[in-house]
Amino acid sequence: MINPVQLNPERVTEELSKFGEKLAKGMQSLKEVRDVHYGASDKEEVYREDKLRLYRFKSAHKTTEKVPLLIVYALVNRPYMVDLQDDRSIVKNLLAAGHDVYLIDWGYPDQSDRFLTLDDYINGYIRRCVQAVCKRHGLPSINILGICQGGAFSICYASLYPETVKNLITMVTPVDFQTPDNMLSHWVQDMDIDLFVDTLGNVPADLMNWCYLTLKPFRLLQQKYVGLTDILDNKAELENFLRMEKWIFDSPDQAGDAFRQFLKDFYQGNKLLKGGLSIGGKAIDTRRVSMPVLNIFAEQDHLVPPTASKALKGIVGTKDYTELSFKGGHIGIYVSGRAQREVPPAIDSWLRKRG
Amino acid sequence: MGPDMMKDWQALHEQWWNALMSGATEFAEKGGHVFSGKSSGLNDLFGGKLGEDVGAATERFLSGSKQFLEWVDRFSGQIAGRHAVPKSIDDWLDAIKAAAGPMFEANNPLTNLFKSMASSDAKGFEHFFTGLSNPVDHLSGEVKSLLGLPAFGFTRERQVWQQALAKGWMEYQESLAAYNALMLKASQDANTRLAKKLGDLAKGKQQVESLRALYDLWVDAQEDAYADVALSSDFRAAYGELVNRQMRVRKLIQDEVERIGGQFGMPTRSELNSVHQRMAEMRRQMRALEDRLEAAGLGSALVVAPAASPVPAKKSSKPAAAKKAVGKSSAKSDASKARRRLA
Repeated sequence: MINPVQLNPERVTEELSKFGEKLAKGMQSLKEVRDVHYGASDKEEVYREDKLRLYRFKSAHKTTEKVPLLIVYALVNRPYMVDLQDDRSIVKNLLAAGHDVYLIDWGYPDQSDRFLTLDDYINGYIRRCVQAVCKRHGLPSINILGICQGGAFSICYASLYPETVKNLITMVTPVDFQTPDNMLSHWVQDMDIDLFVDTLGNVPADLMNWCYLTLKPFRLLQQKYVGLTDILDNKAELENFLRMEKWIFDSPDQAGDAFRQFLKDFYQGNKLLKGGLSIGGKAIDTRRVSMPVLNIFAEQDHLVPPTASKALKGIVGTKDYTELSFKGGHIGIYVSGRAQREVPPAIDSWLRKRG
Repeated sequence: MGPDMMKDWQALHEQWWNALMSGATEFAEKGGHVFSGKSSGLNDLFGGKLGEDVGAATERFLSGSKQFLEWVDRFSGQIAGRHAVPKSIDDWLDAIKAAAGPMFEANNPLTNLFKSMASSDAKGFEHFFTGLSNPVDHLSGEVKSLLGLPAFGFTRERQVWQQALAKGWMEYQESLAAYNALMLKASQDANTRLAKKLGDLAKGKQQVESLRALYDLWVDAQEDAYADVALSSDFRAAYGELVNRQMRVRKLIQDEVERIGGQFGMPTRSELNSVHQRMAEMRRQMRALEDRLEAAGLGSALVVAPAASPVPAKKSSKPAAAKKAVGKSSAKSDASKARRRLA
């Protein structure tokens, strides 16, 4: 057996010298780079309620699709991930393909919002946003793209109001919240969620972020930043990195009662999959999701494992169910170069076939 | 590897700081910085001279890089201090483990998680207890004798609270110890995994040829071991108990803060919650009424903003500090709207 470590002092010296060079140049770059901006597409506010804002993206292209698409994002991060920058924007690509795109921005809940429930979010905010878009276009139904937790909300919404959803697209959306590889779910099973929410009120964003980081603590808390030296001398890549950092840590607090129900019913009870879920007293029957469904998941997703998403197939009532497997992770599916090449064209093609 | 190679390693350990700084020299000279030797040099490098006016991401970067370089220092010291360059997997593992130090013991995830809870009503325990005596300390004093006794008299409620807090804090510490024991188990298991990864490389006739590659391999081993522990039933129970017990202590502290605040006529969290709960209920009732009006064709429930309120791209970036200002602004706007509606 050969010696598996062949560290040659001369080569290590060279490695250290290069590391020092990158470090020094990188520090200079970090000092020169100031605040990074996000948002590739102009948008206008078309509806507001409490802290929620409903935006319509302005397109420089001709809108060829009559049925608009409403993006329902998760509560746990800011929705501008779908329109991060010019070369990393699902929205921009959908606009270019001729779609009319709307987006719900949930805002930043404060303590006055701690009693917002999933009923408020799904039967309230989402329903009224859909109404607003339908009304603007004179249509009875629109297309919905639900992302991550927003996808779970969209499935609930579509089962409650199927007549208002023409096509449903879910992206990195958890459906089976108790797959064996779901670390987050594993951790919360023995937590007293009532005590947790009653104590904290709204769940602080810092706590949520730290929880996500501890899923892969050595990679996300340290290796990632050691690896940063590799791109420090490239201003464009450094800005991309900082933009991502900004997004990752720009997180809203979670409204207490909505968090309570989401953790108890979805994570602990797994009721979206198993049944027995009700939102605001209305039973969720996922067999009523009878419209065409496109389910997009990421193969290396450590937050929402593919098996958690693929469970959707078994619970919806539609006969028109399509899966799209993306080679990437939970974040890469929005922002990687591959995502820009594959995801928006797939959505566009799938929607066009269904009118 | 012969004796010459060993001498090279000893020389490298003596000069690794120079090697690092040889790459950084150009910048250091431009900035007028003079870095001292490696003993205090790392602190110079990361403690201010290169790290002035940096943001959070930069701080994390500096922290990661500093820990990595500290490991390089210890690791090269380990190799240089031996009489021979490691030849077997076990020898390499010994050197890696000995060099690990705080870099690899740091970041007990949950401990840091609780420490990092800095939002308005979720201050870390350490923060709270900096101004107070540790309740466990009372256990060796007068409260200890009260813990097992029934409380009575004019201060009965205070006694009950103190007993509950002391008991809760002790239980929390027990849970923290159980959690840390699992983290230690993961760390020990990581060494076994690293040995296996090195063995697999050797079998495949592959070799690690750089410090970064060795570090990356170590991270892989740590993550694999951590994931296994974190997905175990023991961890699930320990995690749940740790969180629950901390919440119980936190709640007791909140109760006390409420009591003290109430004595000074300050509005309390409970009072605000009561108001917010009523507001939420009123909002629901108002929207239900709007729905009924809409359904009856008696008016639009929807408040559609003017079409001409574009939000240009790339101007939506706000510093983190602007979050609250935005919240205030929208709250003001909502209040105005509510007034218009009521009128």
